[in-house]
Amino acid sequence: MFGFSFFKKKQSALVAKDRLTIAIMSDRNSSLAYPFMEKMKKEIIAVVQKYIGVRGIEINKEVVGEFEALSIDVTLDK
Amino acid sequence: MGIIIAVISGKGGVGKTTATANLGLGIGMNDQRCVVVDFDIGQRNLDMILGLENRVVYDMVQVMDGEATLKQALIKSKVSENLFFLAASQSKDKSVLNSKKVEKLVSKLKEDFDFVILDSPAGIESGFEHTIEFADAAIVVVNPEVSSIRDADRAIGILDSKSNKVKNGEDVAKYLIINRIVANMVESGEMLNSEDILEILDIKLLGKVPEDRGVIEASNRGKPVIMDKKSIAGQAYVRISGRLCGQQVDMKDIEICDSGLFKKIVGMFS
Repeated sequence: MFGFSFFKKKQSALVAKDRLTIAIMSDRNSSLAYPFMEKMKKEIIAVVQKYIGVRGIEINKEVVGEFEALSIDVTLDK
Repeated sequence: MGIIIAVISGKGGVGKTTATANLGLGIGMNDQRCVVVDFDIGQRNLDMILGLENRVVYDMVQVMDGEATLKQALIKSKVSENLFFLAASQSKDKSVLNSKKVEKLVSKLKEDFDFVILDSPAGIESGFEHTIEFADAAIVVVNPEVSSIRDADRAIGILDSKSNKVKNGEDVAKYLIINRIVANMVESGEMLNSEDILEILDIKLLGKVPEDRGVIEASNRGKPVIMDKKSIAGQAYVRISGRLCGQQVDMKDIEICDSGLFKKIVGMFS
């Protein structure tokens, strides 16, 4: 009996939990972004780089009450 | 001044309307005045579950448009002095709702009742958004099953961004009912347990309702299952209604099969 259960496949509830955790995480992230985010990132880097070296850029959409805001962090070279 | 509670789910068919009807009656049993409103325009069902389909003369859209008074449209439950029901419009489509009309209706109901429970339509479109807009709290209904849980998370996300309370910088309280739990499946690891579901959705538990054939039987007859004292789902709704009315009711662990002395003894120590 115990030997058999040892070889049994992974309990489906565990599989469900793992799959749901990942699916919901990606659902939540996608609602916190605009579809044009990646393109905008590249364009901002291009503009800033005309004047000063850029190491990286991070754009986040924030929702506060009924206002939506973009926070843009540009990390400069040195 | 009462409290407005939206009953939401994301996915359809998880037991939202059944929960609304049973909680309405349960609140009535606790001597609190309650009105249940069917917001599922075009797919009216709460009337059937409550056994009041033959009494509907005016619906809530007619009240909103001034074609009928609230008094004319409110239907009193056959079994509870404290429960009233307002029907959804069956003929019109969901676009008839607008924020101003909804606000006027629900704030009037809030003056007259201790609990105003809005049965939201499935999905996350306009009808759903109108249900959550003016809610003080939301009850999310899920089944222990992946599509229901995922869709509930989407609905909670919209609740957290679109409800008026949130827009005013307050929190909208939200609680979960896990419906249709099959104890022996949870025990054998074939069904998600409530702790996992609460962890995934990051929400507080209001109650657990076991799978019960009596629920369909009850809807066949138009007598909500809470009226059947022997029904395990009915008993669960009694407990949940008590919690809503401010009683301390312990969470009964319906995820353990209570057959067998050994398990009972284990249960005593766990």
